[in-house]
Amino acid sequence: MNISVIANATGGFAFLLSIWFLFGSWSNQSLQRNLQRQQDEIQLTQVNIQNQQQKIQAQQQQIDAAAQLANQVGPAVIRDLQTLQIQNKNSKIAALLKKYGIETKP
Amino acid sequence: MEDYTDDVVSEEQASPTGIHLPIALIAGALSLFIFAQISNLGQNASSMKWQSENLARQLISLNEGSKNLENLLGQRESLVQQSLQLQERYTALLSDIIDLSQTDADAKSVVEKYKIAKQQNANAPAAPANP
Repeated sequence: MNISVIANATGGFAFLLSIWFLFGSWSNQSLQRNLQRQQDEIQLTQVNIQNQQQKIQAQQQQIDAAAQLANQVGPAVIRDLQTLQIQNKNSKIAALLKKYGIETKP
Repeated sequence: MEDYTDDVVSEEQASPTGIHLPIALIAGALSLFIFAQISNLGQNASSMKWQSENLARQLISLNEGSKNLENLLGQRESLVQQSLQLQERYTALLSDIIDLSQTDADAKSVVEKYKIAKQQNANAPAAPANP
C-alpha cells in the first residue's frame, strides 16, 4: 500500500475524531449548564425550607408560651386570687375575676 | 530548467515515502491524542449524568419536604391563633392585676409572689415566673 494513502487515511481519521471531540465538548458543556441549574434550584429550595423551619420554630415558641400561661402560671394566679377574694372578701378582686368570667365558689 | 525537474523527480523516485511518512505519523499521534480526549469527555459525561440524576432525586426529596412543611404550617395556624387569643386574654388579666395592685394589697401580694411586671417596650406584662 502506498504510504500517501496511509497518510491521507490517518489525516482523515484525525479530522473525523476532532469533529467528534468538538460535538462531545458541546454536549458536555450543555450537561454542565444543566448541573449548575439543578444546583441553583436545590439551593433555592433549601433556603425556602430553612425559612419554613424558622416559621415553625416561631409558631412553636408562641404555642409553648401560651401553654405555659394556660397550664402553669395562669391557673395558679387565678387560684390565689380566688383564695384571697374568699378569705378577705375582696370586692375589687371579685369584680376583676367576674370581668373575665371566672366564678369563685366558697 | 529541464535539469532541475529531472533532479526533483529523481529525488522522489529515490525516496518514495517523502513527506508522507512524517505526516502519517503526526496524524496518527494526533488521532491517539484526540481519542484519549474523547474518552475522557465520555467519562466526564457519564459522571455528570450520574450527578444530574442524584441532584434530580435530591430536588424531588427537598420539594416533598418543603410541601410537608407548608402543610404543617397550615395545620398549626389555628393552634397558633388559639394560643395568641389565650395569651392576649391572660395578658389583659395580668395587666389588670398589676393596675389593681396599685390600690389593693391582695393584688399586690399576688403581683409580688409571681413577679408580674409590665414590659417596658410593650403594654403586655412579662410572663410571670413560677413561685
